[in-house]
Amino acid sequence: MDQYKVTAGEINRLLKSQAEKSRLIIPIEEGEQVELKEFRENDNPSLIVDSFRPYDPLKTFLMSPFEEVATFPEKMSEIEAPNLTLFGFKACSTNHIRLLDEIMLDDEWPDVFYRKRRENLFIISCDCVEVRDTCFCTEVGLKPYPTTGNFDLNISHLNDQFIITVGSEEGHRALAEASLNLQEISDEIRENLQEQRQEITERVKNQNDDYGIDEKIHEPVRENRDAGVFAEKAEDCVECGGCNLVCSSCYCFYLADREVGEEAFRRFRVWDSCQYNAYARVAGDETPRPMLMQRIRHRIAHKFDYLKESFDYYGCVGCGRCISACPADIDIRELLQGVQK
Amino acid sequence: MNPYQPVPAELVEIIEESPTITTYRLSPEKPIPFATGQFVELCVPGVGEAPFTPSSSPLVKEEMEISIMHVGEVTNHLKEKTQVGDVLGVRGPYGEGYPLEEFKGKDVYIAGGGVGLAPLRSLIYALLADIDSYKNVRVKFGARNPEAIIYKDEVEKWLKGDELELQLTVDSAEDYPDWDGEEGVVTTIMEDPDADIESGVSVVCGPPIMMKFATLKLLDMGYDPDQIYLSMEKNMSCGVGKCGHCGIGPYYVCKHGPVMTYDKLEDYDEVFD
Repeated sequence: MDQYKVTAGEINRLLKSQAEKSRLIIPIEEGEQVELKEFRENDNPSLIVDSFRPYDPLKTFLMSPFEEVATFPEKMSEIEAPNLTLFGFKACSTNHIRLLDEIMLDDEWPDVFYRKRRENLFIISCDCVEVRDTCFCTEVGLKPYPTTGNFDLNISHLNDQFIITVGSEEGHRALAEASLNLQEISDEIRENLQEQRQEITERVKNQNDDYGIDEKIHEPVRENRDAGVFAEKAEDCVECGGCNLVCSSCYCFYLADREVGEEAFRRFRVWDSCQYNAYARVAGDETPRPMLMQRIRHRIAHKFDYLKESFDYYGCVGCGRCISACPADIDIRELLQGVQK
Repeated sequence: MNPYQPVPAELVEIIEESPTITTYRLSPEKPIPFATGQFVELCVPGVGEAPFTPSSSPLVKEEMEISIMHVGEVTNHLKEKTQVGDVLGVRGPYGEGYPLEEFKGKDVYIAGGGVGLAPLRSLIYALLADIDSYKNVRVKFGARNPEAIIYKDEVEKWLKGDELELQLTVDSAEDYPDWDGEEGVVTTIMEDPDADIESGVSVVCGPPIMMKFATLKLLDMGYDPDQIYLSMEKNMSCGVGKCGHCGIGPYYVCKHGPVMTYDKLEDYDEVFD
């Protein structure tokens, strides 16, 4: 992948160029969180390249939590999906897009709403420079910088320099359109970047040492279904579903119809959580997972066993959003640790 | 094409099959051709949707019949408030049906229970349309009581004919003195010394508990897990492998099923729950 060196001012120029042709979302620091907001002309967004991942998952921009997807009997018109540039998401977020694409863009019945947004999405991701105590991407086979594609441009902040990595044809085009002053990077810079990335990777690894999560965590997850940790965490869980809703990789939803007159309705695609008792319920009120312990196990098994079997990667990118969101302080790393016992 | 968009379908006939099961004949605005065993999402406008495998012949393209047991919100609404002439919604067909090509030249051993005869009727129609391609078709069917046997006219016809071998049983005939057939759950009539098990296939469709014991019985009879085709039923919202609800292990019943061989499922719990 092509890499160039630019100055901070050039990054601003890139963002302004993107803002002219698309909606632009940038991260801002809000207390201890990184929030997202619409870019305004006077913002100075390059200053927040250095943060950790934003609070909201990227999926919010591809399949909104509550979205109209059909009307009856008259069909709804095609949706508008204006061009959108997302700036500042980290590798955990760009990594999860491969799973969403896999599910939502299958050949036979692609989700046309997702597809439209996906086609019009431009991603400028950033290397992680800071680490939150909830970050654990290294424990699920990933890195705090992009390794799996799914970005158009990626920015690495190295001392007082910025390295742009181009991840797509659209990325090349955007650079050309912004007429950035791109400089070749030397081998020394390349090495320094590698070193910096190694260092941040070590930091994520080190802070997760105590959990001792096995590289092949899918094996104990499959074999140790009776692990006590599921029942133990079920004691604390309040079934709010927050872990699923903020999860980068969770994609579950249900279709809800709202009556709008005789034999007419509007249909909405609404995010759902497998932690809710009604999630898998069928007519007659039967459910295959009546116990919360079973639902917690299902969440872990789906992410670390079933999806691994289907796609050869985990349905977890180690972003730690579920840990931040949980009102009962349930840490998914402790669940994995417990499964290994 | 928008996968969540139902096609308007006029309800053209309502047939009472038993005290709890009704067949609805629908005429969709545009034909929804399906392979036997595939399912559709049937939608009652403003109330909701539920997945059903059509019970009619896959060879009939302009209309479809769906046989429904009234147990939930959508199905109860259908029973209580729906009339001929109403417009419902249908989308699909979805998933994998019965692999008829693979059945050809083989013994087909079918075990059904209760409303499970609905998808099986569609399968039987498909088999009968090309009956010389299959070695022997045997159907073992169980219902709760004589009154609960659906498709009485067809059942009568199949019993009289010689194209397939049909055997019936009821769980209990206690209040039905006229019943002179078998009594007992379907597994009690599943022994069959003539069935070619080694190179044959078996099909199971019915309520979860019946499917579980029929599957165990088939295994006991000598069928391998990959010779047992189950018509799986789970909560299916989207129907197109996205919403997550119907997951069993790495499979989505709506996409990888609803017809699935038991070898894929046997390692996962919750299969028959």
